[in-house]
Amino acid sequence: MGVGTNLIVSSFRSLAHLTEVKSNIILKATSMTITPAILMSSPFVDNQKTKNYVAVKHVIGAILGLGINLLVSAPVTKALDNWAKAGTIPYLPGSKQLAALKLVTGGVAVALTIPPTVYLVNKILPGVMKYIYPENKNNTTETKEAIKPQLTQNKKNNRNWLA
Amino acid sequence: MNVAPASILNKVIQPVFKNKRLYDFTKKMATSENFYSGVALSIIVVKHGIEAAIHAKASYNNKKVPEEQRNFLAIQDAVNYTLAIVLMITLGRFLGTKGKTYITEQNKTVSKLLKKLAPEVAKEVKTGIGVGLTLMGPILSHRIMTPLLSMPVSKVLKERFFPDIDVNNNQKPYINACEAWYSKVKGQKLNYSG
Repeated sequence: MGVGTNLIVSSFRSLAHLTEVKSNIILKATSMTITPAILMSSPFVDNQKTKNYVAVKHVIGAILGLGINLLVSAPVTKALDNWAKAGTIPYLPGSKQLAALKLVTGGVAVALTIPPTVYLVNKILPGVMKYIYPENKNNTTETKEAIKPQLTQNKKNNRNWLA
Repeated sequence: MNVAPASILNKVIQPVFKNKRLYDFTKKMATSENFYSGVALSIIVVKHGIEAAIHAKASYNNKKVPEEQRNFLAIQDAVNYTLAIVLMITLGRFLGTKGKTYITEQNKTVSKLLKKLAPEVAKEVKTGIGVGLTLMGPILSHRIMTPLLSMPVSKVLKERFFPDIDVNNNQKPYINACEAWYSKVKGQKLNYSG
């Protein structure tokens, strides 16, 4: 076998030993890199600020999702394996029934962590975006002053129109 | 990584797993392939459905985000998770289930390669292909296809539900001033529909 074939075989062999936590990290890593890149470079939306908001929100969500997964779902799954091995729960280690239990438990655990994740994402997002797009207060005042005459005229016009 | 204290897991969560109903439910899942995939599908749909609703509502009510971005974010959240449900059920699950059989058994090059390998190595490679495809499912559907499709769909929906009143952004302050003046004089919001 050539070097390339050997490389492919060995990479698939290492994939076979991938743990649940590691595969979750891979998934979240793609969520933090590829997805925001696609969102930010979308040609369908013209406003770059809007695209950045969407992408940053996605990255924050992925980071929080990974954190919660490592803190909540992974320990529970690991504990299930340990309990099955110790015989404290009536499931055979490595059985399909235990896999089914892990699936249900994982689903419930993730569903329970959605509200706090959403709350945190919405708390963090404005702060991060303020850092990316800092407000220039002087400029805002200047702009307001500059448009004041036009604004007054506009008000008058509208008053006439409504009268 | 085991961060949650073992005592909490043992005292609070362990009794839940000794529940008879949960035991019967998982037993049914283990014996019936259709029931197992049905539960897996329901978890995907319910989880993403809840996420779509909660994320969209929270984004829509997040007053710290500028109005234009807020509306788009709310629509994008709803579209993103709805598309994720559809794509994960179709593409993601297809790759995870049918993909492995197709590649390891029907693809000539891979079958030829697997025959050259020692049986235990070939078995490992087959498992690796399965794991790789199981990972590729959500990556392709949820991480690549969904954002690609969600942006144009969100744009269309945003224009439908939150149309831009001002064609030129410079007109926004005047419109705001007019609206404020109208509500002050008439005591009600300016109705554009006439």
